[in-house]
Amino acid sequence: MTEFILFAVVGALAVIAAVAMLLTSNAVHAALYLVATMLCIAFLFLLLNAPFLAMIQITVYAGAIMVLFLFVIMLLGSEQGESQTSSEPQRRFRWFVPLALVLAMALLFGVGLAVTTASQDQSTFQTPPSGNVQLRLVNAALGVGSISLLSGDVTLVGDIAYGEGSDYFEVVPGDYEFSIVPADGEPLTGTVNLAADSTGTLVVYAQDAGLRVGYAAESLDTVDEPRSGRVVVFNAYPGSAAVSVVDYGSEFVEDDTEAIIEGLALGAASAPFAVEEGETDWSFADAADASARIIPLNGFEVERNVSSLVVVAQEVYQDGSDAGVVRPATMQFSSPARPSFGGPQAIGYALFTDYLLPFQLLALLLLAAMVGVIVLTHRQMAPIANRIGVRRRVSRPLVNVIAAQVGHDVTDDAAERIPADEAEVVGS
Amino acid sequence: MVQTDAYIVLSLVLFVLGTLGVLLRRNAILVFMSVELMLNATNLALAAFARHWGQESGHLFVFFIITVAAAEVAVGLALIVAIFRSKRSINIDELHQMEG
Amino acid sequence: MESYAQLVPLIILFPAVGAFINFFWGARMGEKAAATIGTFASSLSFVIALLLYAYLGGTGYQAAVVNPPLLDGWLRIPVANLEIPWQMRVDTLSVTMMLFVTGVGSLIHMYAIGYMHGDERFSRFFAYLNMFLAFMLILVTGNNLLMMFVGWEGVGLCSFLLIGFWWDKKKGVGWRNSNAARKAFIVNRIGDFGVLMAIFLTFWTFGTLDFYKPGELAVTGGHGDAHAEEGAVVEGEHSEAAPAETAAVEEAHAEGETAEFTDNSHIALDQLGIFGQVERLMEENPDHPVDFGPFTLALKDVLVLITLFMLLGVTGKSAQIPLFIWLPDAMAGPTPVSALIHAATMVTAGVYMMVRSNVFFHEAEFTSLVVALVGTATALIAGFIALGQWDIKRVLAYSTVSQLGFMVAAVGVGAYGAALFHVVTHAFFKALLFLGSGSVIHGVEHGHHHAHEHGHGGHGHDDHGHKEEFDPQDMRNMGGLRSRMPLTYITYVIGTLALAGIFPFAGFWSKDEILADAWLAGALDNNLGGFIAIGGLLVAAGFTAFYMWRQVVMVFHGAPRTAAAEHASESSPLMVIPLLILAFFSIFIGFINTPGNVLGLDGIFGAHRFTDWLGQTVANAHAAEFQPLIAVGALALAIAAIILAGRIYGHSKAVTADRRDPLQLRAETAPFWSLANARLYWDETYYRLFERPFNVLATFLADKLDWAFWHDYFHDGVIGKGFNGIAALLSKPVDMGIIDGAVNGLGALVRWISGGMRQVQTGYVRTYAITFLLGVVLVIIVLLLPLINTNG
Repeated sequence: MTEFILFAVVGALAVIAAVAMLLTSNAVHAALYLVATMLCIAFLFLLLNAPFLAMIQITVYAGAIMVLFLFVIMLLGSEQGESQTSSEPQRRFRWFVPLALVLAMALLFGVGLAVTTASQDQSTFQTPPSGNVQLRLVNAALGVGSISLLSGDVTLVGDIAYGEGSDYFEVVPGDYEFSIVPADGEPLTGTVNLAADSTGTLVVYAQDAGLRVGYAAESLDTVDEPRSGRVVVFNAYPGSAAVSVVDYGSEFVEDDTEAIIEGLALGAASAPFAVEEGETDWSFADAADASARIIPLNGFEVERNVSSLVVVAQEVYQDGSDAGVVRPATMQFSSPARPSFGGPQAIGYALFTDYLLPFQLLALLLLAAMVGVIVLTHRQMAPIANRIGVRRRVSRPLVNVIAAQVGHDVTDDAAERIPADEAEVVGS
Repeated sequence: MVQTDAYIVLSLVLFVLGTLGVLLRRNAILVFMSVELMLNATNLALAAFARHWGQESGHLFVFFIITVAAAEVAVGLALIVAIFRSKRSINIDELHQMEG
Repeated sequence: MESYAQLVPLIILFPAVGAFINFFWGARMGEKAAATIGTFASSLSFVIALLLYAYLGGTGYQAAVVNPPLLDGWLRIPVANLEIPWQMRVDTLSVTMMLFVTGVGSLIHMYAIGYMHGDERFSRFFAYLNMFLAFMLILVTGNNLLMMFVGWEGVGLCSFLLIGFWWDKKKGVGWRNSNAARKAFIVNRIGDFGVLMAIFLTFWTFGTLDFYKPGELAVTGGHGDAHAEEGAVVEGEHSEAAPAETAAVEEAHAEGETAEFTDNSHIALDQLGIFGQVERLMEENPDHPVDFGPFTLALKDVLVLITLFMLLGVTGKSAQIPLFIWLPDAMAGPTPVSALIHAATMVTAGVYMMVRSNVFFHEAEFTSLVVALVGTATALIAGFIALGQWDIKRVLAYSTVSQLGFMVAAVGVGAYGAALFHVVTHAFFKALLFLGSGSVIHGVEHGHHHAHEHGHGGHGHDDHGHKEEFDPQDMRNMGGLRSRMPLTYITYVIGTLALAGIFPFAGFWSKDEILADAWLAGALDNNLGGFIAIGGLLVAAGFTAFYMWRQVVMVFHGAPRTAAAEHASESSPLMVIPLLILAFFSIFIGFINTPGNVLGLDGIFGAHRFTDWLGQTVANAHAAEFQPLIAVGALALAIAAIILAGRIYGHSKAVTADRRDPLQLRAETAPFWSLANARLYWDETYYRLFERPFNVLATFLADKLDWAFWHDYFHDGVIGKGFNGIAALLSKPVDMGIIDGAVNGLGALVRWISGGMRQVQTGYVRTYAITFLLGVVLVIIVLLLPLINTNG
């Protein structure tokens, strides 16, 4: 509610300032009114979860551009407004104002009606959609081939092989009915409740020759702790009832075993926890006996602001003398954390990855604009002494040029009557 | 949360005001400022949509527009200054030499 | 002996080679060399002719057909089933012709050396003379009508070349000469048409053009006792004789000179020559049909047609009515030309053709009548015209025409032998007379030079540049030349007497033979032609004697009428010796054919030797009995005419003071004399009848049809104006109006549109902005309109 009031007030202020800018005759006043409008718009940016933009608006727009405007207004000395020239519109533009008003009203009402009365079926412009859920699928099911995730008849994700995970896809929050279709085997249907703005992974595993699916909630927000990443562990190992994540530490020191997570049941996921970045020396162990290691977690490195999902499951020996034997295995799925919406990190991130080229081109554009401005406004400071003559000699016909070179004096009376200010203008 | 509609309508109003300013003012600088108003209106609309869809590209586009507007204002004002120097007036109604 | 017949190609070769050499290199060789080559060539031909005569005499007058080596291979004309090899024939008729042609020709060559001395185209003249001899010999030696026609045309060409020899004389004389040459050629052409038609008809009827094929007997029917036999075919290098006939003939020949075959019945019809076929066909069936496609004619009618066409040719070549007009004008050529061609040889080619074709004419009685009429008429009219001529050569020319009429009339009454006899004698004394006249003209010219321009160089016959025109040929400028040119005078008188038919000169015998034949044909055979002939020919004989003595008196007797005549002198020996030789022959040549029972002369010379000789070839040559009445009557008539002429023209009354003839002054003879002087207006009549309508028509066609209509109207008017009109139409309205209009209009349209469109650019930013906004609003409204949900 407060938001709406704020919006209304600020919006009205913006409109009033704009109208005032239009109606005033004083250019400086108009500039200041425009500044006011821009400040209002900056506030509205803040309401729109775009703090960075708001700051930019104030800094660049209101702070630089409008100042430039004021500079030029002062330079041209037109604070008097349009009193130099007749304020009465010329005859030929009498029809102008009505036409302009008509067109403007047409534009306003046309687009406004279109926007406000758009069809209900489409995603409305009224309510911004609630935060969508980021969801992905991970295949930890041994012996069923690749699996696909279907919602209704729509295949959301297709053909995820064993050990692979899909990318995050967005779904609408709420109860979500899905079906998992393996290449070999019976499909599995289920329902999951997805909260708004949540991120999670559906992990598919096999238990007792049947498919099971578990949901691991994640967070892709940036980690608050500095130089830390986030980790989520999922148990998809049917060999034991529950597992623990243990750090055995050094073998030379006793009682150095540290339990990171204890008692993770099959099909359950841990809550996301922050870990300092760096190599980890974890292992999976049986929850009942911490010393019975199931499988070490090798090569797992925690990176800063990266969210990782660790899954323990089973796999089959592919070759060697033990081909066909089942053994435990681990999987890791990492995804970088997402900066918060509207923040500088998000914008910076996008600028330097997806939109790098336009960014650079804009830089060049600014450079060109700078040069252009200097060229345009550069006032020639050359002495005027021979300027008129030089100018005249250049503009005379060639014959005269030659004659002059030969020695005739063919200075034209007409040419000497160039008015002083024009000559100055020509030279400038 | 304020509906996106409102932001759009507000942006529209500001845009139309800016259009009127462009059409009706005779001072070149004021015309220019109206153009800036129009740009701001579009920035507002873009930011609203960015929030609506939850994507940062809207913000980025605003960023770009602001940049371009800065460049454009610089060049435009330089032009106005140059014109003023030659004609001693920035009444756009007096600038009709390139007529057919 | 037999091999002499093989030499007959040489008789043509020598003059041909001589002509060739003189034509190309004669100018460089000089007069002496050119003259030597020319005369030598013709003399060699005469020698060969003598050899051929000896051959014939030695082989019992057997005719020989000779294939000239090399040439008959080239000149074979294999067209369809027509094979016409160039075969030559040596028989009594052709040898007769050869003898006097080459003999008289050689004498005239000698004469011409002196006559043409100093002429700038001397060698060309001799080349032409030789060429003429070659062609004439081709004519007489041909064994088929085609070769005869080749020679016929050739002599016509040479006549043209020689008549117009002085085509470059000044003051229009050269133009007159070339006119005369052209006239001769063109008129001859008309006659040639007749010959061609005769040849075509002959070929169509008989399938061949050969006179007698090898192995065939000459036709021995008719009146003659002939046992001439086609002897061995003398093989050249490319003989085409059929072996069978050759064997048969050779076998016959080997047995001796008596023929085994007395007729040609053993030969198939298509192996006979034209005369053999005619004889056999006319015997079997005179109405033998000849198919001409759309119609058929009886053979006898076809023969009439053939002979009538031949007669047309004869009137052209032998100067009969109506185509004799070229001969008097042909006197424009040098005198040797007149002597050789227009007296002795070329003009007799027609008579030769008729004598050769005696079989045809014998069978075509109608034509014979026409021939007799034509001959008689010609003799009369030409003789009449000769009475009134002033030019010495023109008198002789008309005399020639008249004598040719005699010969043609003789053919017409069937006296082929007499006709040929007269040909021979006439050759000698007419040549003598012409050469004599040439000598006279030469002398008068010399006298003219001596009298007026001493030391004027050259005896050339070009223009003298006199102020007054002096015609050396006008008899009125002569007179009293008897003492100044005695040899010429004597020979001229001999020639005159021979021509007039005074006993015992040559002309008496030949003319008398003709008269006798005419009388016999008319009185005994009731031949109408004979009746007319005897009457007309007697009168013509009288004319002949009269005008010839007139000429003698005018030229030689009396006093010289001009200084030229006064200073005339005898010609060079080169010119006089031929005169003497010819005079000798003029006296004695007649004795080759004395008729029997005349003053015992037949005991000295034999009777009818010539006719007999000729009869070996010409079946219908028969010797007429001597008719003393006719002979004496004609002689008396001639003597009377001479005396009369002497009375009228003698004693310096030949020409009156104002250069008029005495006959002109007498009232009763004046109109006749004027008519004779005007040559019966013959040329004028032809001009009126033929030339003027032709010119009118040609002018009309040229002016009206070609220029006025075709050029002016059609080309300029229709096509020219039409084209210009179309072009104007296309250029003005179409090009400038429509096309330019379209293009310019397009430009104007564009300008108009753009003029309107540029109003949009007002230059005011505001308008741009509002336009912009307008567009944007429209677009947005259009796009967002569907979204507006009034229910919501």
